[in-house]
Amino acid sequence: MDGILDNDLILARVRALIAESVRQPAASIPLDARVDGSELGIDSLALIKLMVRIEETFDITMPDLAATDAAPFGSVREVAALVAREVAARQAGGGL
Amino acid sequence: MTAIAHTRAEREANLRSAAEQREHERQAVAAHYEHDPEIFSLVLDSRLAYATGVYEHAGEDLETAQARKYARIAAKLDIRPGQRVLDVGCGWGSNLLYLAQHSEGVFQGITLSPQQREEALRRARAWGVADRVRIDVCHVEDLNLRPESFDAVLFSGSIVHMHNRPAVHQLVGEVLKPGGRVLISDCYFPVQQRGDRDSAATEYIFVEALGYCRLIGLAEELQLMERAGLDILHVEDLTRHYAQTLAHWIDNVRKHRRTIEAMAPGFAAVLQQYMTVARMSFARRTALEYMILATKGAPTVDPGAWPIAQKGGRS
Repeated sequence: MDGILDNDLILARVRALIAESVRQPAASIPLDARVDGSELGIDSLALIKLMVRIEETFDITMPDLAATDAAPFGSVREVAALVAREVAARQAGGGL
Repeated sequence: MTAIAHTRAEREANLRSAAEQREHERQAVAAHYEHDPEIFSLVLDSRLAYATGVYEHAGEDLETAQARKYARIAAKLDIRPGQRVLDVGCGWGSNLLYLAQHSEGVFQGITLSPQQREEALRRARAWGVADRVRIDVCHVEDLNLRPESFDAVLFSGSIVHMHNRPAVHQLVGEVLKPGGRVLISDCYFPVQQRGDRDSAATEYIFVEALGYCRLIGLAEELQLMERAGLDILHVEDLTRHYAQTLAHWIDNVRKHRRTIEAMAPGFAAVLQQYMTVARMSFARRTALEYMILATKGAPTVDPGAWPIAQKGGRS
């Protein structure tokens, strides 16, 4: 994915990926719903698959799920903010 | 012994006849390993070990950790000139060819994947050991070997794919000569129930990604070995090392995602997903990795003489 990605676009894309993962329309995914909780029905495998989809889509590395000090992922909005920071870091690093 | 089935795949396997299960393993297990070896060469170490390395510290690279593991297996099996070695599930020949290059033994490997056989034989020729290496595409239970015809048998990351464990250990007990060694490096469930073994994640790694896996408890495996006439010499835990190995593999998948996708669409995601499930399982110790060494009759190696690293004396 190239070009300028503003935060609203990233939020929309992340929300669409989550919607795809739970087979629901994007509009039905509340932005404040926790991604790793039971609220959206994303189990541990679905969470791993979602993280891989996000890494593929934005060409970034998401936090290590197996790290002992791993922070919980938080809400849809918070995951999108994390993705936005990683995308910005990649672009600043002169990456792809 | 009536084995307890831990997962849906295992319960299904229990409903098949032994011959049907062999056929199932031939088809389902081979599929993963039939992918282009070029893909695995982007992810694994240069010898293509699809198993844990052994790390001395956190910052060590994959190549160093796998080199240490090869040397460790070589020391444990202690192959003397002319001795015969069977590598069951030899993969692309990582251990088998290392041992062939570092001993004067004679080697027979089996795999369910023609691609793996071809790549292992190509490497055997390139490394000048092809005259002492034979590799067949064969299921372990279809091997027709003379009793007491091997000095060592190796299973590295392979016995987990074999459902009929009593038959496998009986075969090992029969084909080993007195003084022969068997080494297993593989994955086990803790006896204490930790985590959900019928979860979507477990099913994904055991069935969807890897075809067929059967994790049992370490004590169950050891008991089957003992019943086959083998004496346990040494068992070590490599769980932490596998979590670290998987982190390296996952990083390599990330680094080469586009190349892998171009060669096999969807496979980079499969690799990263199953490797992440495995890494989390080892990190949380809901799955355990052990290396087991056993002997038939009097041992020719003495684990009591092996060094234990001195505290603070890391080399």
